[in-house]
Amino acid sequence: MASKLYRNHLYDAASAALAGLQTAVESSTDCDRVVLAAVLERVGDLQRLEERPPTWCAPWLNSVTESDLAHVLADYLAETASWPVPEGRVTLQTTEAPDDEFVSDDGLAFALQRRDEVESAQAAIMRLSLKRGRAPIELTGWGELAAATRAWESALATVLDRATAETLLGERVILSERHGWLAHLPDRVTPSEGDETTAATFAREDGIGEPDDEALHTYLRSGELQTYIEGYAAETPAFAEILAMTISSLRDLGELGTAIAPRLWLKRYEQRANEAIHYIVPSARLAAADTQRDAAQHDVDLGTIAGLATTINVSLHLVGAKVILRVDADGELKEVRIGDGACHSANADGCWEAECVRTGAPLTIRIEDCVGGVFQDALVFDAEG
Amino acid sequence: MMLPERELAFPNGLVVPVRTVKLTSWQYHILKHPLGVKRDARSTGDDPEGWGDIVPPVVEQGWRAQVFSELSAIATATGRCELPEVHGKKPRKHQAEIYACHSCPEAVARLCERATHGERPVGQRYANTAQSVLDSLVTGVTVTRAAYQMAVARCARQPELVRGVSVLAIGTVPSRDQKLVAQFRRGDGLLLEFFVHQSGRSATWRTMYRVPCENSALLSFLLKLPLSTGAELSETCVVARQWWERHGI
Repeated sequence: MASKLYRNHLYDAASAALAGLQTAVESSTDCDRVVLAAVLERVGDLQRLEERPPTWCAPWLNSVTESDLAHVLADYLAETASWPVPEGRVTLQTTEAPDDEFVSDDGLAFALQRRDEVESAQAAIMRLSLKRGRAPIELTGWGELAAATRAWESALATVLDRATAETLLGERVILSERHGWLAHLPDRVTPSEGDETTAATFAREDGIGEPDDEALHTYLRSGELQTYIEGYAAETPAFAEILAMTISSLRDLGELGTAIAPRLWLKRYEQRANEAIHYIVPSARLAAADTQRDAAQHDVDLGTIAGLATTINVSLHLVGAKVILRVDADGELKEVRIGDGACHSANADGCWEAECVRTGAPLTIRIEDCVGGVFQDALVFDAEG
Repeated sequence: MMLPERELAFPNGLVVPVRTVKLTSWQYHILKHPLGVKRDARSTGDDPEGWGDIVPPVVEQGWRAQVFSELSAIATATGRCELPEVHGKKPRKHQAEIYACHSCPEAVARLCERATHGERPVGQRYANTAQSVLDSLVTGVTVTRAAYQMAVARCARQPELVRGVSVLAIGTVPSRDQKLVAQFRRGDGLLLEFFVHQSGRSATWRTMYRVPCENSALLSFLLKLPLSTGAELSETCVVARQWWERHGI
């Protein structure tokens, strides 16, 4: 019931503000940074509510330059310095001063709400950047703002628990429920003088909450944190949409790296399960490998693959026309197979290796663990350019 | 302290009768807000909420040190001021969680009141500021929430217009245990709050503090309204008449 009330309140407020902001936008061709920030915050709110912003927003935001966005990020960075960090543990009400001693007097509630509005603006900026084929981390000030908000959250985690923060956030709590930046706050604040380790650190190590840039980068690069990232995406459609845009944009730009996990996830997300995954290899090497003149080599690190009874790390080695599949496993496997080549035991280095000849047709990789779990997919190697 | 000075009836139906604010509670707010006993690990300076920057200023340069000097000299048979900051000390972690003002003996609170309402009348100016916010809205215009939010957002390019906004809105706030509150917001970051009783026929002062903010943060501050309960009293808000007639319509 409260959730619906909060949702309606947020939706109505964002819609009314955007209606007014439209007039401000249309009154001048200059991009005013206050107007831009205000629009980004409300558009981000609507996106997080999975609602469509008014139709004028997208074309106007498309006309905004990276320099305009950098100004907004700089303003936010300056603002984070004004957000308070109470010196004592935060409680909503004390028995000594019923009805009177509410911590939100400190402006803490407002700062938490602003933190969440910045989160909305960041979500809108991320979506805008990805549409342009750019990673938001490339924007001037993006990394600094992320570091500043994280530092504030870490400081808060020593005095503010999540439930109290949720109450202080008011209706905005529905935008960050269960996951999101609020998860960086601990369940309970333990008053322990001199203990510098924050609960936020533990939350991140446990893989709780909305993945930050660092976690996302790790996943995209190596496939690590697959369960965490993909689990979060499964529960959060807005994040899944952003993840899909990130993977496909980076792939199109040739900056995705070689990890297979993000590609597999994107295939499932886009419901293209039967398609082979394409890897681009340098054309000169591929040509050399084709002719087998000098047995040119090219390595493709597929990274971590989750879902089997044992953790595995997989790589491919193209040596001449041969493709060698190497699997490092923490435990036992039953079979490793690529094309028509198979392997049923680890070598002296503890590595499982199977090989076949590359023909240009999709190559099927199949890895089976000892309890019947199977990973199987098909790859195609394309020449660069 | 009597706040407001006289009974006020607002155009949305809210009535705020004259009430006496409990002495210890009033002194707590004066010390915490204009006198800057803020307990924020990041705040620097004597005036973190910027009460010296508003017009007219509530606190002036050097007042805090002089008032603290008077307070630290208080010694009665029943006790002394127990705020560590007054004695030039930082509160320990457990002390930082609750202000000693709430359990202050009345004799000490009276002397505290004298120190803040006499030669350096920070308490009186704080009350005057609250009264001026209330007065500016007694003759205000009742408009829908959406109309107000649109009008403020429309002024986003003109900070001087945004800073001129005053608004009263009634609703619930989760951190007040869903109690009905009346919030008065002003474009210089002032927030004044009353608990509302008897469907708006009565109200009691709760707090007044300042959130110094600018740019999109100020816009956000002014656009925030408590949750509407669906009742007529909270479906609309009251905006200062002059501002509305110039910029709202």
